[in-house]
Amino acid sequence: MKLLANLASRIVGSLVLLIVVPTITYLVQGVAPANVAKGILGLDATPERIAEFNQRLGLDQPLIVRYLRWLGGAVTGDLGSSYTNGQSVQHILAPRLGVSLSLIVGALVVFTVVGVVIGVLSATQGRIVGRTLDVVSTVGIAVPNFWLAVILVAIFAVELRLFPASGYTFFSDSPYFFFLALVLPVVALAFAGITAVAKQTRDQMLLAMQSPWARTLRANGASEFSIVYKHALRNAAAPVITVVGTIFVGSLSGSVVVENIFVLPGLGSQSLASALQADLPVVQGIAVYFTIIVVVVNVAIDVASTILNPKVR
Amino acid sequence: MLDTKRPHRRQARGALVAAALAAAIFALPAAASAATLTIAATAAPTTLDPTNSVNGVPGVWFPNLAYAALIWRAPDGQAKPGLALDWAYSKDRLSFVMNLRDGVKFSDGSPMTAADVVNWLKRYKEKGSIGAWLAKVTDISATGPLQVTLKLSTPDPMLPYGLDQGGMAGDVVGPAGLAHLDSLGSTTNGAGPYMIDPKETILNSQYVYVKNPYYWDPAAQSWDKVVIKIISDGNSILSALKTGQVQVAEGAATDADAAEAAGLKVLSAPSAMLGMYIGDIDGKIAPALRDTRVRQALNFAIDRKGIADSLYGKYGKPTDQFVPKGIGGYLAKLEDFYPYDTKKAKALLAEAGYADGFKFTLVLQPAVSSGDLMAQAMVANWKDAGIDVTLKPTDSFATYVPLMGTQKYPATTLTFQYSVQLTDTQQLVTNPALYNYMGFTDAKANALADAQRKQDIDSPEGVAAAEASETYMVENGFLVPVVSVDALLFAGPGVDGLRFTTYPWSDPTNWKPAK
Repeated sequence: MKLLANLASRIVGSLVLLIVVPTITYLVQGVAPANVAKGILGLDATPERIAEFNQRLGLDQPLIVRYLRWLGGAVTGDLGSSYTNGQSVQHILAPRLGVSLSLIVGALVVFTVVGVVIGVLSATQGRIVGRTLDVVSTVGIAVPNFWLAVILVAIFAVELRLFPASGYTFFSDSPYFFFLALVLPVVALAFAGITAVAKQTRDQMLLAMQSPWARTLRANGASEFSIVYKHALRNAAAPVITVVGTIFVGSLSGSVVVENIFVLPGLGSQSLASALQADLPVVQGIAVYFTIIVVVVNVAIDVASTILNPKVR
Repeated sequence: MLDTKRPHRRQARGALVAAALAAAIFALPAAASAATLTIAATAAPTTLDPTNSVNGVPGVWFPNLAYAALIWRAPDGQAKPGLALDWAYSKDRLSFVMNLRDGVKFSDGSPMTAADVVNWLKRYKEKGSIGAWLAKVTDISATGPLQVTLKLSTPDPMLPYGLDQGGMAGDVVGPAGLAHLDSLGSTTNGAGPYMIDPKETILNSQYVYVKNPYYWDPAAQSWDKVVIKIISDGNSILSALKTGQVQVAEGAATDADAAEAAGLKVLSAPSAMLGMYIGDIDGKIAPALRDTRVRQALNFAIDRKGIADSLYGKYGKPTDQFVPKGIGGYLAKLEDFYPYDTKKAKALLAEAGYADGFKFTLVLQPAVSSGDLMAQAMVANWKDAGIDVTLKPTDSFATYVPLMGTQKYPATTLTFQYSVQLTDTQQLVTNPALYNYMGFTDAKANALADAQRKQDIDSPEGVAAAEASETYMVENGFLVPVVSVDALLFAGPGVDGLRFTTYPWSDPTNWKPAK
């Protein structure tokens, strides 16, 4: 019961976030100096054409009126239309959401699984592995993903021809090429996360394995395997999951760079293009999508932490 | 006891991994199929509507695939029949008659009529991004089932350029498209060889064109499919070319050596003049700029060769002019008209009463190739001559255009795409002119433009008039041209017909599968 109440309060908090973040984004965009009409119609656009453009898109209305109109539409699932090509924002972003999710969820799986495995091994396999991990962690955090992406392409795409250098294949077109095209971008995006998760896992595992309850279990004759994999890993899980969530949210911004380098038609590459074109409805739509992703992930992390950690419960 | 099964399991696993790797290697699509042309552009169009399309490379790629122009300019520069079979000015040059090709259909199957052409031209005149093409047109009417006549207020020899595939005013949109204007941003309704496939297209990432089943000349449809991928990163472009994922790409001078080293073809042609545009010729913001000697001093103070060599390498050449060699109006005698001479600059400033120099702010136009570095080098040069210039950066055209519209800044850096000399005169120094955001009027510049308008662009008289305008603009320092830069194409194997010229801009409709 307490678990459900806890969860309900998190969801309510998340809903507030869903309103606040897009509101701030809209208002900040609204007061930005970009003149959409002139930017799209060009240097020699006549005042009449600019007025007609502004009137057609409702840009002649006060900011608060525009915002309330947008909010009214957003609540009913209508995020407006692109200023530049007239397409609905959902229509533009729908195919891109899947691309971005496949990249960032792929990265999430990779840095979580690989990071935890390395972390557990380094906690249980002695000092040398631990020290090595410390060094690799530092390198992992220091290596920018755009640099790693370029190196991965040069070696595995251009030289060895194992993976495509760029581009995306939809799962429905070919599951095989879908996975193949995602390998290098996922690795580039996940690399820093792997090292961070591994380090966190190792530290938490060592802490758990040296705790009084672990000593008691050993004294009672419990096997080392049981102590490590049944008890210590479960105790270490909650803080590791929190770190995983933080890295996941950070990887959203990293995905913008990775999508551009690997030419993936995701939300990140669209956000860059739309921002440069001052296509505010699309930028706003992307902000909404990213906020929803963050909110969902935060709730999922809260749920997982609650289930895994009796103290949180 | 020995586990005799393990080695076999290991071998089996090893075999599986090897098989998977082999499958990955051999199944990797090395290149698109021969019937598909995949090209890379560094920037996406804001819209597919030719009304608001931009010119240059790669801007024209997007409309040209789907919209045939009234006049087709062949790669050698000759005007040839497009949607119009022939055209001519009247004797007094105040009307322009076009006879249209019979049997043309738009991509939705509807036939093209003179009325469709009239409706399109009226729309372009009213809303077109380069409205100047039709600015002197006072009436557009169908004067026969397949004839359209344009009436002009004053002679304008630029119409055949405005109506060709680079000008885009001749990219006739079908009646269905004009009836649903919102659809034109993301779909096409032209009479060109291809049409957009909306299902395969992901705006801002990938534009897929398939054959227009109603195109009048199926033999000219060399590809089953043309895909334009938007790849903004230079390294990613090179990787895609090297692995055969794209066959042709817009190139950057900074990547040209790497492209050549990788065995790719590098094609180039002068494409644009980079430099500084002076809007404040009347000296409303910076009074010194009103004086021709001051503007000449700004020109003499610039080390063009140093800037060109250090920033643009072999794909940039110092220039004092507005058109490159090969375009009417270019004059060899104007090359190095302003040699790098700080002393002379100082002397001219002193003569004009500015011995202690003067100050002004220079706005940085977005998307000028290495524009920040070029401007910083210019500022350093001017500082040596005693001129204090502050740079004001802008992040996008959406902020740049309204900023210039405030009329608070006397000058801006610019990229000016080459076409014909009259374009330079009409877009830079006449009133009105695309760039003339401060609204200055120079009677002689206007008169020289008028003289040009009375001649055919390519006639000896037209070239002489262009040379007169060019000389006047250079001698009076209306701008500070700095470097003429090349546009580049990188190409892998598999494509013939690649030819890169200053004008017309190279586009995929002329490229063919290699035999």
